[in-house]
Amino acid sequence: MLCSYLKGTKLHAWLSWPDCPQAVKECKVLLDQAYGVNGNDTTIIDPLEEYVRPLDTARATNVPPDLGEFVCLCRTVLRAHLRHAGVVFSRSSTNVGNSQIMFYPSGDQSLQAVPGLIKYIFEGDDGSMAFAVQWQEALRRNGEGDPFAAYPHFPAKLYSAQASEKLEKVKILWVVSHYACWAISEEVVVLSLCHVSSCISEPRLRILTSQKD
Amino acid sequence: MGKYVAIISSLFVKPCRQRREMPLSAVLGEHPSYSKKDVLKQIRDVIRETTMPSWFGSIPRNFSDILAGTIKADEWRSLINVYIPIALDSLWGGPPSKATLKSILDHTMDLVSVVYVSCARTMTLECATAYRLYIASYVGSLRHIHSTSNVRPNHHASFHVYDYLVLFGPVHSWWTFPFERLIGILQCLPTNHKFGELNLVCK
Repeated sequence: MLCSYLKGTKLHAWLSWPDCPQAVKECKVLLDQAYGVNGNDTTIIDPLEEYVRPLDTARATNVPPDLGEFVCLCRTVLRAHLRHAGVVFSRSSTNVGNSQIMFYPSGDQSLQAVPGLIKYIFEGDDGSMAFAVQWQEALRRNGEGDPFAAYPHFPAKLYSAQASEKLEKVKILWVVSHYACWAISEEVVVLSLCHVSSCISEPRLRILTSQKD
Repeated sequence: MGKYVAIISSLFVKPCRQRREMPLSAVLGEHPSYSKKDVLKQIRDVIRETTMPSWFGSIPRNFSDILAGTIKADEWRSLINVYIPIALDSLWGGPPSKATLKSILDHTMDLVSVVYVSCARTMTLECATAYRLYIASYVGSLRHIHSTSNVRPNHHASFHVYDYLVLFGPVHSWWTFPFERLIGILQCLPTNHKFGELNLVCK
């Protein structure tokens, strides 16, 4: 049993290495889909299909005034939920916990991910689904007095309890993870769950998406 | 991962059991630096009030109460990753905190950092070295911070996790949560407690 366990571990480690052949990694994706955690979950919709275009049954509604800057048409598809790579995202009026996301501003991965609340899930002019997000505002005292700053490996930070009025369009691939939020009077503790989540986007999906773009 | 669960359990379960065996009037002042009752209340408040995504497993709101039942490994992981550090940091992390409480907080955060660093999805030598520094700091000051605690074989074994991180990479490839799940499935199977007799019956 020990030898079998060690061989399995070494195989896992090898598959994680950057120099592992791409063909073998493709086999890993297939095996994960067949025997992985979500392999037998038939309720999961293909994430590629779901965010590239809305479902055929979706109906267009009038665009809310604050969403007008992201959508040129007067009618678009609005959603309450969106499932991507096994993770459910919701608008804040439907489920606050599922609407709390950490994302890269403008998709720039060299910047630090910031927290925000999904206000709308909508179909953009290019036909793909996107989020309209309210930023969680930073503290006016510039982070001073943040008790979490002393622990660099614990990804929590204090923010203002207020969310910005202005919306930002966020593509689904810019999202890093959900976050946990605990309110302390006029401030909130924001803890990124990217290290805790068991659901991550497969690199293959990103490659395919970039090819499609 | 089981080692962390054992360490975390020894930190919180044992005091909780001891607490239940003590009279209610002795709650205050039972520890020279802090009241366990206040700490437990803060942890329960954080569990109850924190907004979490739906995929995140729930924790009993009456954590540490006998009615809450046994806390499972995955629940201990949620507690040490999210609820306990937020609760302790909000209690003792501010400027007015006593030096003793700050040292207890720093010590606990060493353990929290150990869990975060060791569970990273990408493992580098720097991460593995950070893991070793944190676990050395945690075990090294254990007797100083918690005078009634002893260094256990689990603490020694946790130092070897550094070697595994270097040899096998991210812990997700070799942690034993799949075995925990299998044990959970096996425990739910109906049995008549007569093992090894299935072959005889089939014949």
